[in-house]
Amino acid sequence: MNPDRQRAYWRRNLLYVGVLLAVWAAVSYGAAILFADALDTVRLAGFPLGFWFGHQGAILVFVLLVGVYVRLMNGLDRRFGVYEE
Amino acid sequence: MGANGWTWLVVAATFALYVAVALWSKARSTAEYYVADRSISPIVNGLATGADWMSAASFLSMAGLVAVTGRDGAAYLMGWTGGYVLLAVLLAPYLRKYGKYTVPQFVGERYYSGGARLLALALALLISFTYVVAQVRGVGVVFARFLDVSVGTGVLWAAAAVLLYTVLGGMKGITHAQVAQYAVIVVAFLLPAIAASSRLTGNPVPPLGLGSTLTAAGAAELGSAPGVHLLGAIDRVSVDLGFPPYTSGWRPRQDVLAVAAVLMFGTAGLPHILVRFFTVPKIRDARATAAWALVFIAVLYLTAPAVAAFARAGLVSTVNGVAYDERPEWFRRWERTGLASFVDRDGDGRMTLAADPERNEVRVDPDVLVIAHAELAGVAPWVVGLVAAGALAAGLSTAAGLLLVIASRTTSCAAGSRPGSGSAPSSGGRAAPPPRWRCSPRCSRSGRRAPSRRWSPSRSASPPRRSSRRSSRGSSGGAPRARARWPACWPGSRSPSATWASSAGSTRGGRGRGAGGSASRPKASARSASS
Repeated sequence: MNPDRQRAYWRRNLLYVGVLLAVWAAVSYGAAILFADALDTVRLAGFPLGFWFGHQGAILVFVLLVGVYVRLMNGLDRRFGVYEE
Repeated sequence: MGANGWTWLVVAATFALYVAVALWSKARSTAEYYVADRSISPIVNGLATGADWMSAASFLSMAGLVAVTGRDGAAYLMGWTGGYVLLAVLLAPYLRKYGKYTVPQFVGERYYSGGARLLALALALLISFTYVVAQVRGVGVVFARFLDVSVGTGVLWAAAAVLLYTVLGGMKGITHAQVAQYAVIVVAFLLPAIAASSRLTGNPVPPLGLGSTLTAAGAAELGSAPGVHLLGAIDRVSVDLGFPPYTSGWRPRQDVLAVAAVLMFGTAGLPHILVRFFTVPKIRDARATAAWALVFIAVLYLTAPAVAAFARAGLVSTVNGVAYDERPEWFRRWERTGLASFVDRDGDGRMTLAADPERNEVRVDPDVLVIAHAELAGVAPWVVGLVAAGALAAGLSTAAGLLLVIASRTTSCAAGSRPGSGSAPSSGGRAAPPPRWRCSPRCSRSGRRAPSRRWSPSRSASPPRRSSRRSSRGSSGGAPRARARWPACWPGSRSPSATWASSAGSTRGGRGRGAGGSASRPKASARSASS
């Protein structure tokens, strides 16, 4: 792979990581802690929403994030021809 | 049979299961010691990582902490799982790509610094020791409860058990035994939660039960009207006792934020988890393993907040206002360990729970709540035994993993011997053969190779690893050239580029054999080291 392709791959990798970690921070630090009081005014079934994010929602989002990361990176590897068989 | 009899029986049965599985998988894999590694799928590896990961703290202490801290307990729930996201996205694939055995080695190589390596080593030891202490305490709580001794004595027994388990524990390294441990841990955690959830809310799925309305029985227990949401009822009971509502945070935001952040970043660096990613066959597998492990961990972590709420409800309903002479059986038992106590401040002979320390008469250590919750969920005695077995599995497996990390760190690079030879067996069954790579100071100072500054997916990422074996035998045309460039790093008969490659190759059980086709690109080997 030539240097340009390497750089492109790396930039794309950083983009994925950056976006995923932005969601990670928004959900955990944002929804579950900093804005929890505001969200608690909304109810989701029996849960105040801020409480739900802290106790369940964030964990579900984390699982989702790691799953998405695996899919994205496998796709990226394929596109750049470095997928490990 | 009493509850203690069942406990011993179930604990003995689960340990027999681990040993049986370990022996079975060992027998199967000795024939093809190296190649069998390949057959371990990321799912199985993820299960084993989950068992490694879920410690006595996750099993025993976390739900208790959440029960006591309410919404602010989210810091623990998110801290330990959120850190895993950092691990999966920022660390695992890169550590795997770099092909070193331990984090200190990685740091030393990456930053060209023996000092940095020693610092990383010291930190890994500090982390491991601290974490082992928590495991021993958790196992000690279980022992105290089922041996009817004080928690101090229980901790001594636990230390002995951890030592025995680790010394015996080639078992620890057997992935399939860890899968069995994962099953025991999760079933032990889920069964009482399902029982409590069904009884209180009629919904057998604990995380959903947490948001459901109370059944008639649950309402009677919590002294509220049927049809009220469980969380609403717990909020009201909390306020009645002078506590803030369970679902509202009461610690300052920045405190919760700081605790969550510290736990996340700390979690991402747990040494006994990181070693697992050095040994998977492919970078892709490192990612997949991390993803599956988080799925399996989440099963427990989504149940924990429900257990916390059920335990809090159960604690209040079975203790508050009850005459001390009629105190529940679980309270009597925990009193003997010193982890629950009652002081009759107002002299009425009744146990009073209150937020006000002047009025509160009951002290229950949060660590006991998970086991107590199982007992007061009214499950069969063997389920209580299973909970004890699950707690022991969680504590012992994590402690053993950590002790092996400590042992391998102190005996490897720091002592000047071959790195990785000690740590590799601790990393989950894909035991690598001792690498012939040397950790000589000469090598790391003068003969350093240029490690990748960036994550480059060069095609050579995998072929040179395969080629390494050949080049290491000097059969590759590229080796002499590389040798000329890095003479100091070449103690034996191979090039430093092969060093990187072969250490990675042998991590994966030397499956570079038979990859002769790709070994025809010797230049790629050198390039991979510097790309």
